Amino acid sequence: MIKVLLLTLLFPAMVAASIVEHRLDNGLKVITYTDRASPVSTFQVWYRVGGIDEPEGKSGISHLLEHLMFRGSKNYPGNVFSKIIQANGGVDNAFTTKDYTVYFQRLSPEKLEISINLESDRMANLLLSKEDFELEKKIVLEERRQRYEDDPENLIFEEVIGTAFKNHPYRRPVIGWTEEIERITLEDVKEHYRRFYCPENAFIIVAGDIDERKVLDKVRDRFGKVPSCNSLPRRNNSLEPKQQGERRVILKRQTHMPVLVLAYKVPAFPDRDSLAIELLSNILGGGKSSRLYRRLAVDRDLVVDVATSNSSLSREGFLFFVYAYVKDVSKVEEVERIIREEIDRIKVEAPNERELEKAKNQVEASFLFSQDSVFGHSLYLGRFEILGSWRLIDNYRNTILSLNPSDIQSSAKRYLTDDNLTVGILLPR
Amino acid sequence: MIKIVAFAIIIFATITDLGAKTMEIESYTLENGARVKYLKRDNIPIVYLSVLVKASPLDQIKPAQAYMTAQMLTHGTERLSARQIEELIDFLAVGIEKKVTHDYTLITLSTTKRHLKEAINLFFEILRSPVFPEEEFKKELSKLEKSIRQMEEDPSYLAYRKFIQTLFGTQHPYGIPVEGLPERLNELSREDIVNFYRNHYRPDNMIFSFVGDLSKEELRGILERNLKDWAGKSKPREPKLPELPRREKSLEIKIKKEQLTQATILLGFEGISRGDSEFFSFSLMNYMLGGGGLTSRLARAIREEQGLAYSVYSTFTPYLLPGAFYIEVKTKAENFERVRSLIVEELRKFAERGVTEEELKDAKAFLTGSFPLRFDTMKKICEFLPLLDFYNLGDDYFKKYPDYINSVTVEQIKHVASKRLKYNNYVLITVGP
Repeated sequence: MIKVLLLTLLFPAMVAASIVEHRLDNGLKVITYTDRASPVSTFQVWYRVGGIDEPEGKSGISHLLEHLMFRGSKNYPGNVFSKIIQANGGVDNAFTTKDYTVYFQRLSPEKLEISINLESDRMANLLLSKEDFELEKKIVLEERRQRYEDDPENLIFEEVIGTAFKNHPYRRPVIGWTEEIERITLEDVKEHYRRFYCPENAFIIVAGDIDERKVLDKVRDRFGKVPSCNSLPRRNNSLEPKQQGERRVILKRQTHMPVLVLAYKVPAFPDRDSLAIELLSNILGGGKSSRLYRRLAVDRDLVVDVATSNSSLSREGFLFFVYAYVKDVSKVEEVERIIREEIDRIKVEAPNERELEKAKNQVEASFLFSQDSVFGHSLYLGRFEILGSWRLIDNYRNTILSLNPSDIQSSAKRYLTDDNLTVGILLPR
Repeated sequence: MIKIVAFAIIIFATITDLGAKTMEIESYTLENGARVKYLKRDNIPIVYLSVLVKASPLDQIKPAQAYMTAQMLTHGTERLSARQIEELIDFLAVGIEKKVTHDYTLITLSTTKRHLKEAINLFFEILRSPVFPEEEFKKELSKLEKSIRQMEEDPSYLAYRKFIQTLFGTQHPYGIPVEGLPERLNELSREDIVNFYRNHYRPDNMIFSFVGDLSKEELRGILERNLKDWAGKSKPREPKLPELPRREKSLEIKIKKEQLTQATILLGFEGISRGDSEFFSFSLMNYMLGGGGLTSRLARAIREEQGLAYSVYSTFTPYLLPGAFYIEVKTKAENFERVRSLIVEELRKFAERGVTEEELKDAKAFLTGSFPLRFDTMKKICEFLPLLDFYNLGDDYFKKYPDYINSVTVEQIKHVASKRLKYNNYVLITVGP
């Protein structure tokens, strides 16, 4: 009896009534989500293009194009996009991931028309001048130096990912490799824009204290004129061959503490295993009472921090990470041994009910806290929409609730194996 | 049985405009001196509780004393061990974040409504009866030392630390980072933490704020059970303030790190306090100069027109006492001189010529228009409400903010720029190969 009650209280269903879906004639999907808690709104254009879609030899082209989207379109020439948004009291930005690219503004609901005008123009009529192209390339190379070349803690992850995948495009960093960024041409970028920036390959999320009908009319008026895609872009068909044996990469750079990274290839949602691993990720590394933190940071005092991460909402299977900041170089081996022991322990002895309930509580809380802003909540919806539909959230939720200790154990047995593992170690030079 | 209004509270209900919406903030003062601010928001079943403690490097006798006191709150209480606290935090999936600035300590609880009661009990347990176990203290201190050593690998951190040391001097509370210096952490003892807690963590030194799915009756119950019987006076704040180091001309310091490909340039000088009458002119000036993302003058000159950097910005730290103003740019090492002269040139132009009406108009539109975005989550509101009292902004600050901004003139911008932008007397720190 108590159990049933608990499950209904746990993880309340999202208020779906306030979310409405529309589709324009050219295939563009528009999702509106009304939330009147604050006098703010967000306008987001999501393109189904990221690192995973890039042609061989052109790593970083999606991200470079994202930069160039701020350099002017036919009706708004020049470097004016952000200037117009900011002069209207808005904040704008964009980001590229391995799976998608998002452009967003946060602004007063009365100003949404400005976003609609600007975004629709750059979806159809980006200028892409030679001069801007050369400038943005320089800026991206500075970004790369800042984020990777001069930041060994990021570089070790780039190396681990590149080692874990032999063939799948996830092996390439979103920002691109320097040598390839340098060789991207303006023509390449134009081609990439033509292929991926069109209505059926995008969707819009408008959310906040909005007048849904008014906003939709404006969106229809502006985005409705954008021509349909010539053909739907081909999706990735580079499959990753089965891994044969553990892989290992050692990077020696300036660092005070060694960083140890273990990465296992795992499936993506809606595969049930991916959510079992999501819960396992919390059991192993979610907080200071987690198994790994307890053993490594508290009992043995070998690490300053140890954490886990799993991106179950990838378009395709990616990696489950365990990473640790090891206090002393001489302890790296011992830390690795203990992490592997803990992973093997799950395989022989299922987690207990309380641990599982704790992990579910954590997933529930992060779900609720992600709704604290319309902006954050919209990003959450968009991540599911990229996988097919925001309605998959229900599936995600129900699957999480239904998982039991033996599910966790069998997923660990299936995926957390030496033949799925890549180990990376950052050591002081 | 819960007595509903068994304790004396003075209620000031304030209705504040924020764009089209109203924020019904309520403020109370309890008999023990604690201030309480409250805003109900029930669209999501979550609750935030923040407490601002007037305790910071301004009050400490040793570096990191305020920081370590806050960190140690969750490491053992009269009833619970550190391990039990960690287990509860994770099981209830609550967050207890501790943020220590140069002016105050802010501790924020976030919880789902479902776990509200247990979360509140835990929060007041760690706030009211921490015991600071010696062994836990030593472990945390060693972790902190390692963490700072790792942060030292970040050129921005190194540059910033050197900058404040140079600007304020190491005897000034603003002259060293809140987390202290690794080589001086061994000066700190458990005794220092216990004393710091005893002197400053007192209800009359605290401003609480509650935001979220919480009724007024529930709030009353919480205050009644957890706060009302807490007595004791805090020690008055009497920061020791040495004079700032004098500078006749610009000072340049280079920190060599051979493995880097970029030079991190941090150039700055003295800023203003939060209470300064020119605060709003200064904010607008900073926005136009370097605070306004890609549209600022510095970003235009260095990034957008020449592609010399990815990251370019200016910022300032308006504390209780005058803080700092600085610009940070990262550029390929060989471009260092070029970028430095572009920064100085932009500062000079701004100081000598000021800005156009058009530029100021856009800046005002941004700062007033984006103001509600700064409070678009319950968490942001919860962490801001105590500052209304702490910096004497008043509960009508949300309503008055647009007027404060809109009343600034181009003459005032010119005045503040020519007085404050020390383009020929700055501190410049470079970290690079």
